[in-house]
Amino acid sequence: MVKFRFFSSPNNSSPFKQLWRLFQRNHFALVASWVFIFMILMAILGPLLAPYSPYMQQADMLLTPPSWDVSGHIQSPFGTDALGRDILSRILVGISYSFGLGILAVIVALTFGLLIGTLAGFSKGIRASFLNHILDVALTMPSLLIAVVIVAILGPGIANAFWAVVLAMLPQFIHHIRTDVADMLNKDFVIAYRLDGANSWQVFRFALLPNMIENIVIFSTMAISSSVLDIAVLGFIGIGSQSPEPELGTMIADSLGVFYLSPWAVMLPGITLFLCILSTNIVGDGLRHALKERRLQ
Amino acid sequence: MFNYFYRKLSLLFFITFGVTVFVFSLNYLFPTDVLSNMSGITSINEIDYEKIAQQYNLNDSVITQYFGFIGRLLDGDWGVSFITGTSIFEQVFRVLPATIELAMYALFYSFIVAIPLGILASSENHPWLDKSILALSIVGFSMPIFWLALLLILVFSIGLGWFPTSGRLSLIYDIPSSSGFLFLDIIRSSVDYKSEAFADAFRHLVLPTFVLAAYPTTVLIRTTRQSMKDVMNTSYVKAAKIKGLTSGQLLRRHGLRNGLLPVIQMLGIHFGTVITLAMVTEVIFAWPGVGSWLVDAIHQRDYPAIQGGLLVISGMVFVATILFDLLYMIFDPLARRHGHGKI
Repeated sequence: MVKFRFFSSPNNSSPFKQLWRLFQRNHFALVASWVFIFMILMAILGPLLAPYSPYMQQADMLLTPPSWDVSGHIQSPFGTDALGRDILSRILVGISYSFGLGILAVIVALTFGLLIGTLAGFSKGIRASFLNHILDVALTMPSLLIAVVIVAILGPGIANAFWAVVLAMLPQFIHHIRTDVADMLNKDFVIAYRLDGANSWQVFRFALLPNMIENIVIFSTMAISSSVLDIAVLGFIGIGSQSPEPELGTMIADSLGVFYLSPWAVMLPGITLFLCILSTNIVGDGLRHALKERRLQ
Repeated sequence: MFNYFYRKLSLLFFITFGVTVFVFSLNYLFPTDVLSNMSGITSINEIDYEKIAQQYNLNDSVITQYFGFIGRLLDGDWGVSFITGTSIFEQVFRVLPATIELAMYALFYSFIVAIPLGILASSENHPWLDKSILALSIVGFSMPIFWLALLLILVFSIGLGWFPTSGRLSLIYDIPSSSGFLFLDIIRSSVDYKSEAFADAFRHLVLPTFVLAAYPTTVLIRTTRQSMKDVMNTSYVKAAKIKGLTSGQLLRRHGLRNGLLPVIQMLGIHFGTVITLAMVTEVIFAWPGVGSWLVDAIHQRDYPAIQGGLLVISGMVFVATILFDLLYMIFDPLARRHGHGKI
């Protein structure tokens, strides 16, 4: 049957371009992706942009309200906390602590997860079964609990919290990549490629990775939100980063004592954290939705 | 069926083995002395050291030590706390019911709220309803739980003064603790201010339950919506619709029965997350449960207590996961076919 399509030319653009076009249709997701990129920029540039040092205490400016308040000052736009530290500087540095470290944790976990998961996907028999059982145990444990355990062993501190979050996410990544690899190894195009004489590395590099990369990106985006949240929660309950550090969760915990006097010292870091996680989640959701639509086309 | 039970039990056995090996190895991983970690006695003089080492099989091989450790676990000898010097076993099981209570109410609440919302969102007649419920759920999913708790405290406790900020019960009510579950204790107690105590316990419960339920509710809304959409698009539902069933009958006879199965599975998967979030909630609301107890133990470097807390929490999570899995299998015969050593 001949189809006349005047308005839709055949779509020969690359898969990523198609994905991006579908993603753009969702305006919420687009705005969220701008926020997300802005937060990443802040995570990189924040420490340079901060007007004061996040540790500098100004004894004559305790608990100044934000500058939009009548009694606020212009030199500290978001006000100061109970020790007279500028909240804007602390938030700017805090984004790179919470959000930046969260993204970094995902990247590290992804690297190790890709390595171990692919090896596990290629393995068969008793080795695969052994790994499966270990993964089953690790996957039933919620990631935050694993992180708490690791912090309990290593002791509190932001570096330990970071490694704890990485290790806690690792089982999910390994599991995800292992199932992807194992599923795909049985597909015809991989078998054909193998019959052409490709070795395992070539199969991984040219047949598996291009097909997995989208799933990995989407899964990692969702993982970022949970890792940022885990780092902040560990900071908040006081077993992650420690008190003078400008980590967003720790900042909220620090200002709890003056919560009633100066709610902004709790609210502003909270809003920042919420925006980071919300934008990540919406971007991840939008990407997943776009991928689903592209597969339907 | 029995085959499936057997598989799940063997999985439970393997998991128990893994967790006990891990908790046992913590004795060696923690920075303090191995014998102190095992016994909980911080300062052991040289004369006693040999005797206690004998008692804890420290001179034998690691495997003998492990089996000695399992034996002590079964006997209820979990060592004593570094800080208070009291038995950890008693401490853990005194605070555990509070956590179970909180988690149960939160799950129950999210179940009642999420399922109608998910069904509403899945219907294609109201796209705006779908959008707003989804937006609400993604906001709830992204809200850091401790920040949500602080917002609610600011509005409802400090601003409006409706609910108390911390604890399980006001100090003026003296309820003898028998089971540890507060409502049960109040019913079973013989005080003459039962109804007042009941109302007070309820008011203490509202905020923590709501905060803890935020995460499972959003997850359940999304799951329900997706699975109801899938079920309503199947051929058998369309056939039933053509036969002339009303939408209520359709929902009751075909939609809910098939659409709620993934929800049970999700409950099992997310039970562990609820328990860890309960730890955070307990810390904020000063709820005397196992979570805040464990966080205190971590702050104080109380290693025997950390071990006990981990053992109990992870054991609870594993048992609940497997129970939910069995429940899912009872409801869904198709699930029995596959499940080789998988959770």
